[in-house]
Amino acid sequence: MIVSIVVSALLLIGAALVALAGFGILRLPDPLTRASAVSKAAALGLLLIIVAAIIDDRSPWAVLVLVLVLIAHLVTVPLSGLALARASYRSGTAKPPVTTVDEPFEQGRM
Amino acid sequence: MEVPVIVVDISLVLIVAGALAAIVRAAIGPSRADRVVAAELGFIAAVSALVLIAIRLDEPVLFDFALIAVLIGFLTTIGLARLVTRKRSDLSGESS
Repeated sequence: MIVSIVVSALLLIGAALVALAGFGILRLPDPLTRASAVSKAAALGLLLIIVAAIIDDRSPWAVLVLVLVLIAHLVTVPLSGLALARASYRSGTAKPPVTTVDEPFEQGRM
Repeated sequence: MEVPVIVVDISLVLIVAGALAAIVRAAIGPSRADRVVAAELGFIAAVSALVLIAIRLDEPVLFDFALIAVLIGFLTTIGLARLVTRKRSDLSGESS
């Protein structure tokens, strides 16, 4: 009973976070904030759903595969978030009318 | 399998809402970076839906698909981001 309630709460919070990331990707004003919404909110939502699946399905093979999914997701999410932000900067959509500070330009790295 | 089916169904509906938002942003996105961000959200929604369908049908085999989808999604995001980055530096003649 307790397990059922915990799994249900984790599933609903995770799915609500993914839906919230969808809301953010529609409402936020520029690509940097949209990349932030996807690489934080949606990533945390998937994390909670995987943890709920680990608690729900306790057979050893499923737990092994799901822990591998969890590790792969935790390792790759910061890298893809960095790649998204870097792509939106390098494609010229995050210049000073959008952002107030442009540190890579000031330090002569662009 | 102890979770109520209706909870999994509600979660699937919420994830479909997120995926629809990603589709809309990929269609109207003003820049290429917006479309890459929308593709990343689409991948995360697809993996979440895979895990939820595995719970719903009680088929642990589908978790293997989730593992492969996470890795492929990461590679695709990196590739698309590099493509967006490479495009402008090719046009302006800078080295990346």
